Amino acid sequence: MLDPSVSNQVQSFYFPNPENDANRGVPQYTGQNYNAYSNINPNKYRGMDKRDNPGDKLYADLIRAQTRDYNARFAPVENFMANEITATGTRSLAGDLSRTRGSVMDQGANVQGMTNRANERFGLAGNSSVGSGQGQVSALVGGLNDTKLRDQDRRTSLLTGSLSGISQKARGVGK
Amino acid sequence: MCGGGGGDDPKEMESKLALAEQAANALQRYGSTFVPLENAYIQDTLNQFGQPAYDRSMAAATTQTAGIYEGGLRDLNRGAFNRGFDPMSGAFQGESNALRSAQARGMGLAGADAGLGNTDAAYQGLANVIKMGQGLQTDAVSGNIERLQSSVDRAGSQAERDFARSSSIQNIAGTAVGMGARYGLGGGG
Repeated sequence: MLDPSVSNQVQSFYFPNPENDANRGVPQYTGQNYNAYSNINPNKYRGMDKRDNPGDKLYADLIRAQTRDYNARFAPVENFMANEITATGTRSLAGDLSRTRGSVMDQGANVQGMTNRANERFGLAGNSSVGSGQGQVSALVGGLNDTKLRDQDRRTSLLTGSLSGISQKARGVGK
Repeated sequence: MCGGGGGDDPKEMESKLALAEQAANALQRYGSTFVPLENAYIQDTLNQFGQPAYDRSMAAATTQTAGIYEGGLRDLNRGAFNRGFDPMSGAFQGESNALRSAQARGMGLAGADAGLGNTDAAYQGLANVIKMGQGLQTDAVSGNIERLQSSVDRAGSQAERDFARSSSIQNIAGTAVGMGARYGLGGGG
């Protein structure tokens, strides 16, 4: 008999709460219809006195449009990615564990049904235990452990890959 | 140049405005042509976190893995019956059940692997979006077919090992060498 606290840990690892926010559906993208460049007028400063720096002013408009574009379309994706990282992995872990468990168990039942039907065609009893024995449980445990390890790898790759460039670039602005 | 302008503000060079106008034109074109494409790509990438995307990739992997084992099991049955094996015999049942169990594990884990591959691809796609936002070159995204194939390739290798271990097949075929090719386990069929 497992110690209750260990039992709870095992339970929460292999059978996480299905209401967990990792089973979240499709994240919504808010920048979908945004085009920061539609209102740019290349000829806006054409008649202006050269002493008023019309080229500089137009450049400034372009930089502002690019900043708006970045804030509207890309910053939310960066925020989303940063929010995906948890202390142990990513927010996809619960969903991935649930899918791995579903796949191994469902395919076990699926093959058991196929085996029973095949046996019945030979006139044998269709009560096979194929797909529900120790081997299937071992496959389940291996699959769940692999899922957890891959999630940890994913966290490392998010931190050291795509997201690490943001802070470096932010520190480099204005230099 | 020195002292020539008196107290007047210096005039901006004509080429500076021309260059700014050129950049403005380029950004306008980018806005009308590429921004909608980028937005569609971002939404497609986010859609990959949705259940339909997981269902598609996992179902395809399990179906293809099932096909790999089914071909081998069919050949096993045919070979056994040709040699007069009794389907009710314990030896035949034991072997058949062992291979069916391997099939259950193979299909389940191939489906799980395809699901994990889908999550990886979704994050990889978003990493590319972030690079786009930073003006960096993006990685080539590996497509659904490539990801599915890697799951199925692994399942195929496992199936070859499972069938090679089957003592009945070794008795029937006489040797385990080249079993994968003989039983049509090359992938998909």
